[in-house]
Amino acid sequence: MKKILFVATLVALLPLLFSCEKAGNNDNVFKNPTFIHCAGQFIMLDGSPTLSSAASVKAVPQAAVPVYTYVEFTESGIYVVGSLEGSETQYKSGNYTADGNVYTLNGFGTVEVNVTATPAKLTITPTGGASQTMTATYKKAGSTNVAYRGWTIDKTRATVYGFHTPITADFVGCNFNDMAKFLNDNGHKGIYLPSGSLKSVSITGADSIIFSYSDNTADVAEYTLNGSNLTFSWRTPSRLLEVENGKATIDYLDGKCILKIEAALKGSTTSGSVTFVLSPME
Amino acid sequence: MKKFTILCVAAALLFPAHAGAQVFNHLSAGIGFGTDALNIQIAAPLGSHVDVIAGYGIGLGVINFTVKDFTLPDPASSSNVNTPLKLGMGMNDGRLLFNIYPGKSGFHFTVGAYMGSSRFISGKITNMPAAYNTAGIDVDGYLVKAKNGELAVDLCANGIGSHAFAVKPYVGIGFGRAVPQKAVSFSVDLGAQYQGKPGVWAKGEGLTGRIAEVQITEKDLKEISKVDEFGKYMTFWPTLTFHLYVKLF
Repeated sequence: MKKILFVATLVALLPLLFSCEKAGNNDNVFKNPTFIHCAGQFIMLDGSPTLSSAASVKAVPQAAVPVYTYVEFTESGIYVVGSLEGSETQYKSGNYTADGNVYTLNGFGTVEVNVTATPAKLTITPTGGASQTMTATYKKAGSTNVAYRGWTIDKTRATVYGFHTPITADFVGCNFNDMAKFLNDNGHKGIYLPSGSLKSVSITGADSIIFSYSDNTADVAEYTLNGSNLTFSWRTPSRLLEVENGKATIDYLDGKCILKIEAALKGSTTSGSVTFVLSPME
Repeated sequence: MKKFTILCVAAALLFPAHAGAQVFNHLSAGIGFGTDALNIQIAAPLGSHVDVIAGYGIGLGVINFTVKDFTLPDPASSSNVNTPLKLGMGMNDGRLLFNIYPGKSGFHFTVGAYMGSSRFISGKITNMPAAYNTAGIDVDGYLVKAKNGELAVDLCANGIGSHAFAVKPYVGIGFGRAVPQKAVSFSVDLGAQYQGKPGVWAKGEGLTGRIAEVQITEKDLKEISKVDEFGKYMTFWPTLTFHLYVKLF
């Protein structure tokens, strides 16, 4: 009996020797994105593009001929085409497919590229419009970082530093109406956000971050990445929360990419952070 | 924590060496209540002067009180609103204790430890503004928010252990034997658990949906300083307990 009790006591004490805590899984191993070989960025060189009609640009009414400034193809099959509207570049975004040097841009038209030429050449043909051939600097996207791909928005966590205490809320996806309501309901009345939602974030090997919206427009920023710290500046004024140039971090948790942007709202003393929980696109 | 446990096991092994044949030759079971919660215990002799007691206690909130002047900011109006903080006993731990009887009477010293959950008081903040049902506070990447205007919070202290597994050393005195000399015995004990400075903890949702307990500090919510002020008097938890033991064999 004594031995039984003694052994039972020891067995009862054994669990006390061990304790464990659950930790997050920081793995960041993802399958390579599908269009990694197509990814690259074109920034148009100054000078007049050549129209397919052989007419000079000056002979065509300015409003009828888009002035393209920027084209980028991401690792996950998202394109961005920038064209001048007034003095600023506006970006259009969507999905693309590639057949050799010819890229078919869903909702836009086609772009034929020649990256072996110096400088690189592009022929842009919008659906129903005239072709333009132009020269551009070309930056082929690298493929050395798992961050370089498109990411869909699972969740957005917004924190606003207001009157008294920071308030945080989670949103499914990233719907601007929900975000605006949150800001207005929490002491920040009058903050306007555009309608629609953020569809995806692309971090490219050509040093761009592309925010693609539900209306197929986009905002583009240039970034530098140092470890997990990312510093970015908008190519044109962003509509994303009217966020001024800011700092961001990239981390990985439970098979997701966590992109946290801390910035101030333009024209406001309010600062805050937006954290995106991102799922990888193929 | 491991060292302490090993020390306890070593003590359990060493006492019998000096105690002749009266080791684990009896067993008793007891029920009790007190400021260490409702509990059940078993006890066995480790010689004629020492009993070892193992048990488990759970606080059911039967003793509770309310901090009526606890307030939180209402984000919608940028003014503070009254959100009473209701607190009750919330222990959920095991205990390994040694009663040392210097004489033949039931007077004894007790040493040992309470081990398990670091929570000792459970509570909830009530009447919270509606904004806290959809928004909350971010604590180390975890979103803590209310449900139906209430937020469950715990007062937790680790003792010499961790939040996941607290170890709270106990010393005290008492009267009555844990292993009755006859069929039953009654025991009363008074002592204190060292539990360290307590903190306020609540469940939060991580970015990827992971739920975890997080400690809310003043940097997260200024008003928590009121609870911290209250908690600093609880570094030692006064333990007054009453037990009824029945000798099994």
